[in-house]
Parts: sequence; structure tokens; C-alpha cells
Amino acid sequence: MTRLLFRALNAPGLLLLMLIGIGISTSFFAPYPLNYFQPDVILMGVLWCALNRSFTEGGILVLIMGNIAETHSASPRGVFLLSYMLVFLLVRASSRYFDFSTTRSLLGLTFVSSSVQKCTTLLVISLLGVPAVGFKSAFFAIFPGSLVEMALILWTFRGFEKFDWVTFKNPRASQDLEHSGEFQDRTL
Amino acid sequence: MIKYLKEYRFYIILFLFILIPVIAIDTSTRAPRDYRLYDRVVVAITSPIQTAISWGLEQLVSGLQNYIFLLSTRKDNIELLGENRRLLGQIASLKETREENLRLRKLLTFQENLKLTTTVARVIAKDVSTEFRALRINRGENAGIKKDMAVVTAEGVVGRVLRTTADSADVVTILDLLSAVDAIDERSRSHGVVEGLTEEMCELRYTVRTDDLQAGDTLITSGLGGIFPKGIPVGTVTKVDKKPYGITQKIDVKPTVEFSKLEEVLVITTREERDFYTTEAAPQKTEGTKK
Repeated sequence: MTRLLFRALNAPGLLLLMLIGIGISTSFFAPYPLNYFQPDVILMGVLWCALNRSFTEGGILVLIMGNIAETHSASPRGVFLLSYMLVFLLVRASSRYFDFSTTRSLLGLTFVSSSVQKCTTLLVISLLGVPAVGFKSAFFAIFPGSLVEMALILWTFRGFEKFDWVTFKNPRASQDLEHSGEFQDRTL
Repeated sequence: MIKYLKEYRFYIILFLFILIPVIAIDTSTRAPRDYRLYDRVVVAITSPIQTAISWGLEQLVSGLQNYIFLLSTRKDNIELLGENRRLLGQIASLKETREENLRLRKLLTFQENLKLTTTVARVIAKDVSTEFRALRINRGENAGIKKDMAVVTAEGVVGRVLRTTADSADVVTILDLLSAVDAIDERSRSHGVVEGLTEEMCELRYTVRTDDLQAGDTLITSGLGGIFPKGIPVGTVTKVDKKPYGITQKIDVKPTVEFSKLEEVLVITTREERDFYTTEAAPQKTEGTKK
């Protein structure tokens, strides 16, 4: 019963971790010049959901995470929802053809996803009528943040793996849970 | 029916995942961006973390400045340092207090000159993304702060309140790509709209090419729009690009406020005074957010 409860708390727990991550990144990286190196914590969560969650569960989590990001930003509503969802769908589609289990491929995926997400954000706000003149500096600000995300992604994913293991969301932990009979008893 | 739903389940969910963000995009205005209950819960979790980390960083920087930078001096004066350590600590602490005092006194003088009711707030976090330039301050509805209130410092305009919670508020700065402040040239009285450009620059737009603007001119708020009182400095003209043809000219503006060093701000909380300015100057509803 306790294990099932832990498993049910996986998604809310993941969102709580995202909130703590946002709290840390927005305040720790607030002073100049650290602000140029602010990592996108939500993007790392989106990548985790795209690679380790089912399509429906991951998509719903991505929508909630996008909303959390918008709560902490001056962006027009929906911009982050759209850009994170685009990244989620692209990563899911590309994971059918590419293997992202190696370190190098994961780092590449992070960099590309980060760039795509930020460029999509700029594209959407330009479509909303913002003159493109200020985009040059915003465009160059993409890359330092992406590099920090690359540096953090391995540790973040290891942390998420541990979290999944503790909450019995990890495939092996799920199997253990099923073999223990607890899960079968509940479902029957 | 259920058979078809099961068969096309993936495509239905995919369609919904794309549709929801598209519907959520607000193409016309930022007006409906008030916090909902869900947003307030989210901010209630992150805001204390942000406050704690910014406080910790402040203490760390203060500690570094007060002690680590004095290590070489301590080596030279090792005998005297034993006696003077306690006094040095006190002096460093007093120095920090004095600096804070000076900043707050400056704000207070500015506050008195403005003849407006204001609330002092501390900056605790910045925008989650690098594309947008908003700040979070540690005062909210409990301190009388409401949406669309002007945020200033003794140096000039910072921005306006975007939304609030009980104990914090988000401020969209004039550097934000979506920010627009109605301004006039203090010398020639030429009129334009200051819009965010980069992390440290703005641009004065919609200024007629024949208007007399020169590098070094100070831009002040026009009072139009009902958010900022008239006469608060916005920025200094750094470059004027006037072509021999066209309707407008390109003008770069450096904000008077140094955003990278912003620690405390004043939120103008008196609406009556602002109404006085707006009725005097025939308000435009476009200030604050680009349409």
C-alpha cells in the first residue's frame, strides 16, 4: 500500500522538484553576470518526461510545467506551453529513430532542444507582433544557458532516476512492485 | 463510437496537446494574466525559496567582501588583526548598514519629492527565461501593491507591476521586449515610446524624423497612459540614427536605472495622484504593454 502511494505521488513530486528547481535557478542566477548562465530547469523536466514517460502522462506533465514556467515569467500566456510541447513532441518523435541513452547523444539532445525551445519562443513572440530588433541579444543569450543545461543534464537525470526508483516509477522498481503481489492485489 | 475513440486515441491526444497551447496564447493583451488560485499555490512554494536564496547570496557576497578580500591585509597585519578583528567586523557590518541607509535615504528623498504614496520593496528574483526581463519583489497585496502600479527608483523608471500575490509581485521592466513607456525629450519636448531592446538598452520609437533629438538628451515619462507619473527619468539618448528619408528616426536609449545592480525599488501605490496626471494629460491606454 505504501509503495502504491509512493508511486501515485511520483507525478506531483516531480512537479514539486520542478518548482524547487525554478525557485533556485531564478534567484541564484539573478545577479549579473550569472543571469546569462541561467539554466532552463523546466526544459530538463520536459526532456525527462519525453524520454521516460508515456505519451499521455508526459504530455500532461509538460503542459503543467509550461504553465509553471509562465507563472514565473512575463511571457504572454501560452508561449511556453507551445514551445515546451513542441520540444516534447519532437523528442518523442526523434526517440523512435535515435538512441538517446548515451552521454554524448543526451548532451546533443539537450543543446538542440534548448536552442529549439528558445528559438520557438522568439518566433512565437515575433508572430505576436513584437519587433524583431531586440531578438539579436536574446538570440545570443540562448547559448550560455544551453551550455549550463548540458553541464547539468546528466546529474539532473541521475537525480530523476533515483526519484523514480524511490517512488517505484522506474521499470525495474515497478516489476519488483508487481512481483511483490501488492500491485496485483490492488488491481484485481 | 468508443471503438473509434480507442482506435484514434493517439491522434486525439496529440491534437489536444497542440490545441491547448494554441488556445492559451493570448494574442491581444496581457490583461487577463492575473494569478489564479493554481498560480498562487505555485508562487507560494517558489517565493520563499527565492527569498531564502537571494538572502543567502547577499550574506555570502557580504561575507566575501568583508572577510576574504581582507585576507592579504590580515597576513600583513597578523598581530594587529587579533585585537582589531571584532572592531573590523563591526565596521564592516556598519558599512553595509550605512550603504543600505544611503540607498534608502536616497529613495526616501525621492519619495518625498514625488509626493506620492510609495512602498519600498526588495528584488528577490528575475525572470525564468532570458528572453523576457521581469523581476520579482518581496512585497505584494498585503503591502497594498496592485497590478499596473508604477515601479521606480531614485534614478528613474523600473517598470510596472504585472501581477501580485499576497507577499510578492512580478514587475515587468522597461527592458522587456513587450514593454512600452510613453516618454518625452526633456529638452525639445519631442514625443515617443520607449520599448525594450536588449539586456541594457531600450529604443525610442515613433519619433518623427524632423523632431530635434540629440545624444545626451534625457527622456522623461510623459504621464500619458495612467501608469507612470509625469517627469520621471526613463533614460538617456545614446545614439540618433536619422536617415535623409522616411517618417521616423532610430534612437537608442540607455535606461537611467542600472538594472544589473538593482536591489531596492519603490512601488507607487497612490492611484489618486496618478489619476490627476492622467486627467491632465489625456491618457492613452496603450502604455505598459504593446498591442
